[in-house]
Amino acid sequence: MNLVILLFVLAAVLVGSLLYFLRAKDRPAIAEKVEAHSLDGQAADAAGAGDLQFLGDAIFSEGDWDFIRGEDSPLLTELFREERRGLAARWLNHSAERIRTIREDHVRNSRFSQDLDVLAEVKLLGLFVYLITLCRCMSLVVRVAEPTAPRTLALHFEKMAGRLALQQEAVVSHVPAEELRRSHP
Amino acid sequence: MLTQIIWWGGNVLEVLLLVRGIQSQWMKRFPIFYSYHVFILVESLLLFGVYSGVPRMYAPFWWTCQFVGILLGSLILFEIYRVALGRYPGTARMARNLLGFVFAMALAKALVGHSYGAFWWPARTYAEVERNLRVVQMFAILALVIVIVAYHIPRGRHLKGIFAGYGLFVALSVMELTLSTFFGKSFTYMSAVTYNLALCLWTVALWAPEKQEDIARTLAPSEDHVTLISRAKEELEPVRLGLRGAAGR
Repeated sequence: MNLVILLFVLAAVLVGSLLYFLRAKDRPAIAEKVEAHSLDGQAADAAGAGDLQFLGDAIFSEGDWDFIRGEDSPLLTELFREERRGLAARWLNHSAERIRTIREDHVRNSRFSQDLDVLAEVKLLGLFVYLITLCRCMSLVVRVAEPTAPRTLALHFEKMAGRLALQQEAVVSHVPAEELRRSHP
Repeated sequence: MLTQIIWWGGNVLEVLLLVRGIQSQWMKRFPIFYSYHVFILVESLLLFGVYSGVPRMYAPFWWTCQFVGILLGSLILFEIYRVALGRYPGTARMARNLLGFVFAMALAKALVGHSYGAFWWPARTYAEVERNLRVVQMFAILALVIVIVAYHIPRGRHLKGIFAGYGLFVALSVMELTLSTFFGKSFTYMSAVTYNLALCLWTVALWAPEKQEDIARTLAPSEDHVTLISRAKEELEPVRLGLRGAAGR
């Protein structure tokens, strides 16, 4: 009976993934997005990265908290906590989305690679998934605890994010993509 | 009567699909897929002749055809791999490794099962053998779906149709064969209806030509790898720096 259930579940997974395969749409690459954004307003786009860093600093630092605690008002503290929770969760979701976009741009390019290191690629894709999951976990932690609570996770994220560039370099050779010879598998 | 309707319906769809394939010259693009349908059509007519003329030969003949069908079906997967990933050597390499892993696992499972006398091999009935082969096909299809979706490989109407039709047929066949092995009786209608459903999907998908512009847009890498790495660094840096506050720095 267990085998029947297992095979039915497997078949259902296949049908589900085929439905996803039929429905999934290709998302535009970063380069295309930047092009589209620059038509709308270059200033807004340029400020994006700086804003993200500034906001992150402000949301997670203890400075504002020390000030609010100094006021000694429970109502103000609660209001501030709620406001920061919402901001932190949004910031983390935005960061996860950013990592997802980096991953998508990476896979778009690596599909043309002639000498893809499969093991390094699998590790890199795993690292992307791990970083996104870390962001989601931190988002969950700030929702149930203080916005400054995910200290250990943030430290770990910083360490893992540092590995990303090294992993990306390991996946493919440094030959520019347009110089690579095309061939059929 | 119902059997006749299902049988003739399947044959009509098969002929329609083949005629459209010849008319539009899509046979050249998917030679294995259309060969499979020629085989199924000929098999269907031959089986009808055997059933009417020599009924006792029907069962062995049917099982032999089934296994040739599974073999040709596996070649359809190879054709999907060839057509979808032909322009993407990196993804093709990834798919080869993943498919190699699937087949290695199936082989290992078969060998282990053989030594313990478990369900993979040797199977007790032909239906079990077919089910086991279909399960391996199912994993191969899943591997290809994962690679194609993860790498944003452009999939035109034809490729989607062929893949979805065959995948649905394999998934429903596994369900039907599992039920028939478990209950000890065959679900003939279910298998025929499943195949006709897949045929409907194939006929609809391969009736009209597909749009070429989306596929052409993604035929070249957008930027070289060094630029991409530095861009990724730039994109990730604000997130890392923004989290420094939370890390207590």
